[in-house]
Amino acid sequence: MNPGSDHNGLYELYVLGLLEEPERGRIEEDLRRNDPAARALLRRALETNAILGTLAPEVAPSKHLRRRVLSIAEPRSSRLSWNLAWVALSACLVAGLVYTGVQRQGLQGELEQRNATLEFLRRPETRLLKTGTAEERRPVAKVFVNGARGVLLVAANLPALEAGRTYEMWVVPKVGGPRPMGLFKPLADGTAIHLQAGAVNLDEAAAVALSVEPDGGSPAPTTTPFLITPVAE
Amino acid sequence: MFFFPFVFAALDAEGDRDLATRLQRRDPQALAALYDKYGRIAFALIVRIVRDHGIAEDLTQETFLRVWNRMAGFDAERGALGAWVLTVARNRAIDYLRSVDGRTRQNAIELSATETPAVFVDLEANLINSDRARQLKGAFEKLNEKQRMVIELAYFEGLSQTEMAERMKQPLGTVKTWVRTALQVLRAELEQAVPA
Repeated sequence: MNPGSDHNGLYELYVLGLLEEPERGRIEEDLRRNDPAARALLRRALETNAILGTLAPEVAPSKHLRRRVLSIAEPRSSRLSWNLAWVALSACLVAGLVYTGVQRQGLQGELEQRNATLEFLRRPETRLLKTGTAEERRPVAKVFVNGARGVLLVAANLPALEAGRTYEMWVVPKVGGPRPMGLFKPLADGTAIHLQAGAVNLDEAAAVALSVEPDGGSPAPTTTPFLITPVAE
Repeated sequence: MFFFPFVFAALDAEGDRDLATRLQRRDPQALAALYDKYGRIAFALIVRIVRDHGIAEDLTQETFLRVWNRMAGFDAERGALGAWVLTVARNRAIDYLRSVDGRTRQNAIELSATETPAVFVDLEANLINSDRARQLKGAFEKLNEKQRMVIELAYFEGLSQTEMAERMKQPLGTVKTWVRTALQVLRAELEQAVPA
């Protein structure tokens, strides 16, 4: 139970994410009924909440960030060409790996894995998620998702790993902790292709991310995840 | 804590109306203008929450992507663009914190419910540049250390009151009192600046 009975306070707690039941349910019911008084209190609380954001100390973003944000509005044809380039690059990498893998080791399992990757990319329902642009030497990735088949990551500029460390991919759900989506190590040039086959509930997925973990992986990230790619609606 | 000197620049309601209309027309230059106006403050807010510049850049991009994709639901005439952008930015950062540490938040509402563009209607014009915003700094400084801490833990770390009590090693009732009192102080100060 939250202390106090003044409505202003309850709406402020609600907007901050602090209000508990049963008051929370009552406020949501008032808002669902479009109650004018409730709307007015919500507006006032939203104003206070937004103003609190201006208390953060000033920090200048990099110039690179502006370019990244503006890429959101790039003409579709331009984005499409980048996407096609990535798909072509992915296919070439996969084909090269198929050839190299077969030549070097003749491993049937390797061939099957690469074929599975190509098949994943060919499926019409496979979606490409939005990511950053391939500028400078920052890690970049393209993430393909297919609810029935899994997640495919094509990455470049990945930092070399220390001995005993590996990259682990995660699907970050909207609620709850990240779910492990397999381990991989990049090639010497910092590129990597990682396919985690299996159904993924994309409706519940908020993002795909990577972290550096000890060999063998971790049940939850032990280092700060990066290359966070939103699973946008 | 410092106030942003640049938020007192040209943050005019009429400009925001025009900007929102252009964003709804999918004008790429409007996105650039939106970023130039609110990108820095959104980024700073996210950095304050996640404390990592690289992650903050990812989340800032996600913030503007979400705003860009949801502009159709925004009321260009009556909506408060800056407040909406800041709310989306804060929610993205808090959601990230919750996802990374796997916190299940029984006491927290689904934050996305508070960032629906339609609710940002009829908020005070020029909110971020308003007297109320200036008043808040003074009000915040009037809080005692514990009151300031609980507001920061709630706003910048997304902690529930139960989590705050655990973090601060204080009884839950005490923390709730600090929160309630802090909000009352802030409200009282801010209401002095509300135009009649």
